[in-house]
Amino acid sequence: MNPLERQISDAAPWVQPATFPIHAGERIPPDDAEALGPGLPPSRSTARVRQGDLGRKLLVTIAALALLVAGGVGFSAALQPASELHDSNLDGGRPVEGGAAVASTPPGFPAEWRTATLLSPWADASISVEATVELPAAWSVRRHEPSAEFPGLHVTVVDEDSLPVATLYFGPSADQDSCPLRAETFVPLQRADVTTGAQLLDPALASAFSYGLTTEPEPRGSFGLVPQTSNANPCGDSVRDPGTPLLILRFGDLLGLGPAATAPRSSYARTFATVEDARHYVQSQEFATLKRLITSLKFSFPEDRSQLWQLPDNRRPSN
Amino acid sequence: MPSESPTDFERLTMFLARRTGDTDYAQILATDAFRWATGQAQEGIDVPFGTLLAAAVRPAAAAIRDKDDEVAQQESIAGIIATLRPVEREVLRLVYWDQLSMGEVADYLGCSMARAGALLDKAYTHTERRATQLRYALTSDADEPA
Repeated sequence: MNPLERQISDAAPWVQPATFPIHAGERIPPDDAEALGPGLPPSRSTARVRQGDLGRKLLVTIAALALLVAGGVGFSAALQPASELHDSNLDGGRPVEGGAAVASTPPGFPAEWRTATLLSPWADASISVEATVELPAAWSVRRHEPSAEFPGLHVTVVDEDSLPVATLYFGPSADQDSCPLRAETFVPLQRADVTTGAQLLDPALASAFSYGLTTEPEPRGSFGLVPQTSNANPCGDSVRDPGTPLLILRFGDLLGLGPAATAPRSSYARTFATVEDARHYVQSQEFATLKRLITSLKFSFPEDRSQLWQLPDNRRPSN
Repeated sequence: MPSESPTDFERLTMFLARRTGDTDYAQILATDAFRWATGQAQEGIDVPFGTLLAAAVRPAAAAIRDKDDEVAQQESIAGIIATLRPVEREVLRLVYWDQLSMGEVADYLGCSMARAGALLDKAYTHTERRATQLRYALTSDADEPA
């Protein structure tokens, strides 16, 4: 290995050695495996079929993975590679269209993703704040009309069956006692810092993706953005100027603010018979999809932010 | 198989973690990819390891792009690699980071081994040229500007 080759090799980021998520000898009883699916609404027929299959697939997967780990069984080269690729089509390690990997995209993976761009007026109609979020191509975004309580950017992501997945709100809060981000009130199972850009407006909006369980009245999975810091102040340390409206950010299974907290929650906030079931769930493709959705949120703000995002003035006559 | 050698699951997870910087996410992706490969195997279709990598990394393409954009700002060999064309940077990483054989690289790219070898050669040449332009000391113990 010559010096350049060694430097290329040394440039590899250090990563923690992988540990197998499920013990090789562990077998999940069928009841537990099937318990991954409770909490689905009756109308969710398509998803129910998928989720029902998950338990059976999980058993098969565990057995196969146990064999793989124990025996180090590799996959032999039997698939015929697709035709040669054009270099310019390969992007960031992603297989190109028409390549072997694309042709054999796993059924559980959303095959196509798209980026939705959401615009909301900033201080007046002349400038706006822009948010982008990645979602499976079959999902869509429904915008809510601005209201006195939620005058900012307010949308709900729905899946292919029109069932709510996650709600996003970013903007001023009418409730000055709200936290900029929803505080954690559950048993955390997974957490990862994300950079949405919202922290440019207020460091208290620095956020992290979190998945955890609410324990009362039943173990229910809850996902969304939470404050990035976990210090004594669950609301974070806001540095906004006195007199300016409090900006809040919510993106997850529950808006968790005022009367909207009683609104129907996400169909993907699943209930679990045990905490262990929830730990199995975070290994699923559905969870990976939710995580990608939530962590893909990015904001762009006007260069001139001297005009603050204002709450509608109720005293002002509306036209 | 000797236990000292990493299993395919470990290799796959490390491959994903190096690119996403998130070991938890890497394990989720790896598990899903194995689940898919198991389904393929039940239908009598064997999945080459390179193809398994390609399928596993697909959902993380956006996250990897963001990370590459970030690394590309660095004045280092890693930064130089991140500025290469996607196919070139990937072939370098597959060979030097993940220790894939050329057959596995070819499976990953969906091309012939000869084509994969040509891409590696081109990627190496471009990296060497840029490193020279940036006056990197290509010595055994330096990864800093000369």
